[in-house]
Order: sequence, then structure tokens, then C-alpha cells
Amino acid sequence: MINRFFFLLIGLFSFSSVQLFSKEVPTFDLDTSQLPTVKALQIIDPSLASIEVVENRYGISMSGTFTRTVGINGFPGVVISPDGFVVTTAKNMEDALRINVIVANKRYTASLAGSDKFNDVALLKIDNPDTLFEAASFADSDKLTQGQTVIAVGRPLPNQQAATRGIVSALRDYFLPNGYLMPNMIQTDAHNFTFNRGGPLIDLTGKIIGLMSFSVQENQGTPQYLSTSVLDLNFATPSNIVWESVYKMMQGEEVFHPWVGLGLRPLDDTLAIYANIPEEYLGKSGVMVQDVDPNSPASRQGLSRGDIILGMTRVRRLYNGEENTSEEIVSTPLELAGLIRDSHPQDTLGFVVLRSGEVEEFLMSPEDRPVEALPGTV
Amino acid sequence: MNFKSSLFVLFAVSFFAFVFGEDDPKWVENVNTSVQSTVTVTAGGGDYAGDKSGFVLGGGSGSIVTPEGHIVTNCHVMGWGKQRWAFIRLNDGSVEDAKLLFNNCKIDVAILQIVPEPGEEGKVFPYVKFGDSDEVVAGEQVYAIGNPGDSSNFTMYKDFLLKNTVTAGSVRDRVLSPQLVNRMLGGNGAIGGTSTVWDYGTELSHTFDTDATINGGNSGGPLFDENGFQVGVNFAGSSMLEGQNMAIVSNDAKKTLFDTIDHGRVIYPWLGLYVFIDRMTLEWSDEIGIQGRNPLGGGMGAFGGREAWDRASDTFTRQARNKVKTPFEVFDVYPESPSYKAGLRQGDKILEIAWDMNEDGKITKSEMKMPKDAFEARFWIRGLDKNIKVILSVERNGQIFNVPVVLGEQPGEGQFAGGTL
Repeated sequence: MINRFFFLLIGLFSFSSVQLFSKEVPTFDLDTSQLPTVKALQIIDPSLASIEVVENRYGISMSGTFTRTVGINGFPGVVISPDGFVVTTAKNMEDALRINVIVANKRYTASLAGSDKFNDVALLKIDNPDTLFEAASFADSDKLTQGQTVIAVGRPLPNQQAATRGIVSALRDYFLPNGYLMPNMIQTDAHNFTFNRGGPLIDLTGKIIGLMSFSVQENQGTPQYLSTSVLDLNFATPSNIVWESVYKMMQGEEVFHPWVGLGLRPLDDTLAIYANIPEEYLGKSGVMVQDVDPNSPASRQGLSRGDIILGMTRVRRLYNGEENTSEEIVSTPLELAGLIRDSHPQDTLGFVVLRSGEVEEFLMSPEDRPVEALPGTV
Repeated sequence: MNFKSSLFVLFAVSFFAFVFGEDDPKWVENVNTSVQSTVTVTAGGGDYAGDKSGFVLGGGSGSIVTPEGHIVTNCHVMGWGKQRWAFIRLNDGSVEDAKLLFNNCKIDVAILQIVPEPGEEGKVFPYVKFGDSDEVVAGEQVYAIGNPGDSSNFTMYKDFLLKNTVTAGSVRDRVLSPQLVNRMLGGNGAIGGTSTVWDYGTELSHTFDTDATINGGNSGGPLFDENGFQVGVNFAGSSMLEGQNMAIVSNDAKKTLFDTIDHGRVIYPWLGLYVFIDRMTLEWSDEIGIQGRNPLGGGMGAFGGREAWDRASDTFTRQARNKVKTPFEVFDVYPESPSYKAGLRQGDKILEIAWDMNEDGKITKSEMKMPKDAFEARFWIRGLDKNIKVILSVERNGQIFNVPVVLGEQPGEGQFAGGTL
């Protein structure tokens, strides 16, 4: 009994004293392997790949690989399946003809299995895998919260890992540098460097939540005076879109990007007055057509600049032959862009348009977005 | 399993919880509520509410700080006070008109109030709560919310406005010399040399130096501590020196807010002594080889980047501390100021200060205290109220005597540069 009491005293004393003391100067060695960021990096580490472009359409590289920066051997990528599918951004794999992938310090030849330029996702397949790879897993990017910690990882050299930490600054629809509107982009303040551009953005569980895609400097929408001085406004393609795109490419299918060719702008009060909009429509709904791509369904069906779109109807043919009709009123460009994005190639879209005081409907089917589409059109 | 081992387990658990904390930072649960009260401020409302023909001169962020719709933003967001109205874009997408109540360029804070549309009087807005910025220590985690970009181009594709961007970092330091900040921003020329407000930034007591990223458009936006209390107002950053961002401490902003609500203006207590700034800055700029009154104006990277900046600011701080050490000299006394009336003259040296303390109507005298330097004396004086009696211990021609002075109110904008006590 006395013995136990003695231990109790000693225990309490040491407990409280260390607690007080630890607030001042920690005298113990920090077990870094228990830090959340370190744990996440350890999970992703075996799946990180370094991608070398040996030959592109301009020729064979003199130094063995084409890179953006001297001293960095390859582009970052991540292995997503045990049989050797590797994901990176489409911009990194532009013009690539002959590719090597280095995983776990071993070099393999690889081929481009598919490239989705608009979602900025490229899929590589390792040609002769001699082992099963450790694949990274995807997290649900719809469950992200503003402010949570994220880490951008890359592998600039075969045996080197480079990581920068940040938070989710915002989740928003945003235009890519190629003029394509991407939904739910992850905006982060983790630094975007050459060595992690195209690499995975992971959460603290070590799962992929996105692919580091671009930073604001590269975006054409940035005003000139801001583009030279902005910092840490970086964007990552959300994992759900990456997965959707990768899944199609794995099946050998093309990824369909619905497009009708409309450049839109919000209809604010000032604009509404200039556009002579009847009073019954004021302030309720409406999006103004700013541009129409000349080779688009919208242009062919007669939509023109200055039209005001009040709403959209959609007729969808189901597999059993039935038709499903829906009607939506739109009040912001992003709303309308979202409706167009959700459409299928076989759908018939009807745009309810206010033109010189009269309401008309224009019917068309969405097409796959061409590469030369007018930037900013949806 | 005995007491010893179970206690060890207990200890280990609490130890890990203390050192490593939660997996995600504490603020994640607070970000949502903080975002609700952060607004986009577009100055350029012209001269009356709803005047949308106004030329957009400025824009930035702001935070709603009372349920009645008072907004704290930056003076330079409001076109240095030239703009009397602003459009406020709330987080829910609605647009409101706001009137400029008071523009305090001395600390780069402007107070606006939302004027609800007819029929919506008495509307209650989501608001942030102020924290005590004096409690914030170096190394503390903070997050900033703002709207980088500009909204002057309304085409969907070209519209570059990243609403409600959250960036995180930690407080690196308190910058104790407000004049340093002033000089950093270009001194009497202010940001980018476009301002004509020549007392810009002179009344800042401290600023926070953080590495939470601030871009153009973040100006006026709130800086929160981990618990979601506003501890700062972001007002400056540098693209040349990455991670060198400045925030006004919230206690300064709070004083301006409360004074504005109570009196319609901000009241700074004032002795009328000119003690430290200009002569010193001139000497300093001579020493580091830069001519003129604007040693660091026009971009901090112009002088060799970070190293030169560090060297310059070290020199400045060291000199400032040495030159204004107690007893510090009075360079000048403003005519008609409380000190002049009390008989203080140029060349006097201040040794000690005491003041009356008013506790529930009972007035007691404090002990004579010796400030470290003029900066500390100024900090004490700014903590007092107008009409409080202060006793100065003054040295003149080798003689020491006490002079009672009743604090006055520092006269209005644009007349007095920094360095007054």
C-alpha cells in the first residue's frame, strides 16, 4: 500500500512538473515521425513518380530529358494503380513522344494512355511493370473544407522528395489558362514550384485531393498589373474530376466536355438599363451573352452578342426510350455554365432568350469542346 | 498494470495531445463564420448613396464589426478619404451601399457603415468579434481572409476576383516602430507614391509582421487568431520580400471604431511635443546613402532585396533607440499646444512622467515613471484620455523641475507628421 502511494506521489509530481516545464522549453526529443504532415508524406512517398520526357516533337533531348528548370530531372507524377498507371498534368506531357517513369528508384519506359487537355490531366502507363506498385488512393474532393491543411508533393530527382504545406484557401469555379471553366477548383496557398506542378496535392491522411495545376500568373484573365506581383494564389484540379477523367481514359474512351460556345457576363443593373430590359424581368434572372464562338452550336443556331438568356430547358433521352425534361431559371453565368457542363451529347438544350423585348427559344445539342475554342466560352 | 504505468500512459497521451495537437489546425471550424462577415469594398460610390456613375478609385476587403453594419477597412481602400461612399458585396451575394463615417489615415483605418435600403432598416449583419491584439505573441498561428484581385472588369472570363480567399501563416514579430512602417510604405508619399496624405501611418502603435499571404485586394481584410477573433487589419504586403506582410493591430482599429461611434472622430491625447522623428530620419537616410525623405519609397526591393532591407531596418531601429533614450530632447514645441501653455520650450529634456488615474470618479496620482525611450513615453500617453493631467519631470540648464500639463486633443488630419508626443 505504501509502495503504491509512493508511486502515486512520484507519478503526480513528474506529471505536473513536466507539464509546466514543457510550456517553457521542451527538453525531450521531438518524435517527428508522429507529426501529421510527416505521417501523410510517408504514406504518399512510395507512390511518387518522376517522369522524364526523353523525346518530344522537337527532337531528342541532349541531356536525356526535357525539363523546365535546370537541375530538376523530371516532372512530378503519382502512381494510382498497382499495374502502373501514373497521373500528371496534361501541360507537363504536352508534345511528349518518348517517356521514362522512375518509381521507387527504378526507371521504366512508359507511354501516354490519354491526355485530357481541358481538365489538365494526363495518364501514363508503365510499359513493362516487373512488380506491383504501391498505389496512392484518391480522397473525395467534395468533402474538403476551407482552411484545412494540404501538402503539395513532388519528386524533382529520383531519390528526392519535395513538399510544401498550405491550406485550402477557397473552393471555386475558375477558368484554366486555356480558357476552360473548371468547377470546384481547389485554391491553395501552398507554393507552386516547378517541382510540384503536376504532382499530387494531398490531405493529412496521405490521399490525393487534387493535382497541382497552375498559379494565377499563368492565367490569361489576370490583369497585367497584378500578374507580376501576385503570390500563392495556386489552383489544383480536384480529385473527383481527375478520377472521372482518368477512369474514362483507362477504358480507352474520350472525355466529353460539353460546349455550346457562349461567353457570358453577369447582368448587373447598369447593363440592364442599357439593354432596355422590360421591367417584369428586371432583377429576377438573366445572363448576358458577351461573345459567341463563330464555329459553335450557339452561333449556328443564331444566338448573338447582346442576347439575354433567362433560362435553359433540357430534354434528355433515357436508355429506356423515355424523355426527361427539365427547366431551370438562371441568374448568374456560373449557374448557366454548370447546367451546360452537366449535359450529355444526346441532350437537346433550349436557351430561353430575351431579344429586343421578345422571348425566343434556341434549340441545340452540346458538342465536344474543340482545342481552338474561344477562351472563356462555355 | 500498476499506478506507475497507468500514469505513464496518461502522461504520454496528454503529452502527445499537447505537442502535436489535432491533425487539422484549430481554425478550420472558425473559418466558415469568419467568412460570413468578410466583405468586398469597392470605393467609388460618388457623392451620394447609389451613385453608380462614380469612378472606381479603390477596392479591397473589409470586415463587419457590429450587428448594425459598421465596417472596418483601410483608408487607402477608400481612395485616402476621397471616396465618401462604397459598394459592399456581402458573402451572400447581396450588394449594399455604405457611407464613410471616419477616415483615419494616421493608422490607415476607415470606418464605414452600411446604409440599408428603405424598408430594410434595423437589419442585423453577421459580424466578427475583436480579440485583444496585445495578447498575440510571435509564433502564433493566424489566418487572413480577403478578396485578392480587382473587380473593375465585369466580363466573366476576365473578372479576376478571388472572393473569400483564406491564407494562413504565423505572426513573425510585432514591429514596434511605427515610423519604420511609415518609411517602408514610402513615408509621406504612402503606398506607391500616389497618396497625398502626408501623416499616413504615423499613429500606428504596433503592426503585426505575418507570413500569411496578402495580395492586391486583400487590403482592409481581417486577420484572425486561431479562435476566430479579429486581431489585425491587413494593409500591406510585399511581392519583393515574400512573406513580409503587415497588419494593423486590432486594438488601434478598435479605438478608431469606438471613438467614431461615440464622437464622430478619433481622439488622440496630445502634449504637443516634437520629440523624435524627422531629424533622425534625415540623418539615417544620409548614413545609408540615400538622399531625400523617402529612403525606402517606391518598392523595398530596389536596394538589394531582403539583406539590404534588414540592414537598413537594423540601423534604423538601433539609431532610433539610441537617439531617443531617456532623457530625450524636445526638438520643438507646437505653438498653442498644451505643453507650450504649460511653459515647455525647445531644448528641454524629459526625464520622468506621471499621470492622474481616474477610478470610478476617484482621482489618484501614479508614481513618477521613467520611460525607456520616447517610443515608450508615447505609448503611455496614447493609452490615456483627453483632459487627464500629466506631470512631466523636465531638465533645463542643469535644473530639474516638474511641469503639470493637461492633455489636449491632437489636431486634425494632415497637419502633424509622426514624432509628436
